[in-house]
Amino acid sequence: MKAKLILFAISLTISGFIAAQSSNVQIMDILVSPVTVIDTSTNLPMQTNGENLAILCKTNDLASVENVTILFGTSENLGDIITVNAEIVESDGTYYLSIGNELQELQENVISATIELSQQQLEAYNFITMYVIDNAEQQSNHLVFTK
Amino acid sequence: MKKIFLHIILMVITATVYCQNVYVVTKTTDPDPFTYKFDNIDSLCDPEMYGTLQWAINKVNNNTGESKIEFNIPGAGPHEIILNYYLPQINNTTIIDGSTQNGYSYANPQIVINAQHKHKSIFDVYSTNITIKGLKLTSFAQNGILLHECSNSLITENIISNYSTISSKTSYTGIFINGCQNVEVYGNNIEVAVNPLTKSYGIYLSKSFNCTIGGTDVSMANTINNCRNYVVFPSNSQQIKISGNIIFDCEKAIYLDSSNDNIQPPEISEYTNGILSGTALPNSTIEVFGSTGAENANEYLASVIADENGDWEVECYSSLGFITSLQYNFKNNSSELSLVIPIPIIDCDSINLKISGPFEAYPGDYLKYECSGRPSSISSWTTSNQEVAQINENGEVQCYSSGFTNIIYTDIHGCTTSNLLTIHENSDYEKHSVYVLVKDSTI
Repeated sequence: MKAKLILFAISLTISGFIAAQSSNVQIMDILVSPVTVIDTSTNLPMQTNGENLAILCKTNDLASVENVTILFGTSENLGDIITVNAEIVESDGTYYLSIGNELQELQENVISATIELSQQQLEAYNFITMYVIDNAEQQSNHLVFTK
Repeated sequence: MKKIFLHIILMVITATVYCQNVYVVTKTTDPDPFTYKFDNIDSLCDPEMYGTLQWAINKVNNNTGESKIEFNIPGAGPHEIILNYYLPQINNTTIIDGSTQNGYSYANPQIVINAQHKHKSIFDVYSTNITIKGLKLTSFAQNGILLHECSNSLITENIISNYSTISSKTSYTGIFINGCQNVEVYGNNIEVAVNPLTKSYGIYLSKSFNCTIGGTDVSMANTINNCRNYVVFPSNSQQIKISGNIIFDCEKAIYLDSSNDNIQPPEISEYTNGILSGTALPNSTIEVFGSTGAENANEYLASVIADENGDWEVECYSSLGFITSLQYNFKNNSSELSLVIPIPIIDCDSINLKISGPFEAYPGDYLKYECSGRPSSISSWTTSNQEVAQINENGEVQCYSSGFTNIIYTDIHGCTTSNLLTIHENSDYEKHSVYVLVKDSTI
């Protein structure tokens, strides 16, 4: 009986700990699609060695998101091909994704990142995992895109 | 024995019904997916979400096997689905069939999907074997339809139109086909008008193979107009057959960017007495279009196969003032449009067409008509009242019943003339037959 009580107390503590760790920010509907960038001098698509990919997801609370992590990997939750960390910044009520040296404007609870991959990276990844970290340093749920 | 038959019939019916999952869209709303949550078990799905297009796509993505999205939105159409959120990426085989909505007819879709200029693509597809049919897609921020590694797919009978005044660094595209094989694009009407600082394409193919854009049959041709830059733009693609499409009001009709072996358009040598002739690749197929000017192919006229020396000629006429052409070879690699050549516009009054043949007949009679105009393979005979009499391409008439009908001849230039044919009552038929017999015996 004593052992059962201890086990119950431990499980309660663990559940409480997990609940405390989870973020109120949720993300859903990961979408990965190619992007064509046009060379304005020739009016033709910009020639690149790889491809520009747009990675999108919806969030229930963009204002609470601080960081976005995108992992390109050979398995889920792994960034062994490339890991992208981006920050969300706000200016005059408009939210931007700060990625590299570039600011990409975000619209209405949609997180969108355009990432250039080399041909080698394009061929190597099998999964894209995406999650966000909120302003309480808590991690959201993970979304996985399977190539 | 009867029971066995009944059992077999039931099995067949069951198999027919259950071989395909059908998800029916019954609402035009697009609810917040965080508040009104989707669940693959319908009884657990939020009622606000159930029956929406968003729900139907989630059902496709969360279930295996063949599936189809149909529409049955109550009330008179057209019905507009205004997207508050981008639709989930489609990552399973499916047919999205707008023609299932009550009131649909060709070129008159009853389901309109409006992305409010906010969402990049209306349909973003990452799966093989996709059909998108009978919808109107409008106000997207980048692509009407994006097919990404999406082989064996069909895009047909859609209206894809965009009018954007916002300047954008990225291009707008009606249909973007990326890394696909065996995609067919038939019978769509595509218009992607944008701000002068923004680029736009009708159909953009990148790293794709063996795709067909249009066809010479009227129902297969796409009409693509009012795109700022290119109508059909294959980039690093091969075996892209571009055929029969009606193209106008764009900067460039077709641009081959390291595609289709960069085959050159056919050369038009001359147009004399309704005969267009020129040179092309040996044994290639040449398609000829009436045109209002450079880079316009406003009406499909005819096709012809070049001989083994590449020479070709075809009878054609257009009242539009110009003619242009393209060719595709045995690998289905299509060229760009050729330079246009001017053709004389004919004054029909000066031709003075006259029909010769009987003006009176009886039911059952066979008649023969001729016209003073130059006989042509593309001239045509018609009757105004098919119930009274019908005429074939050689001017031979079969009379069916009493009444009046006009015998109408249209020549190669589109000029017409007609004669009234009167077919008398059946009661006079016997007398008439005797007359014919007597007349014949005299001969």
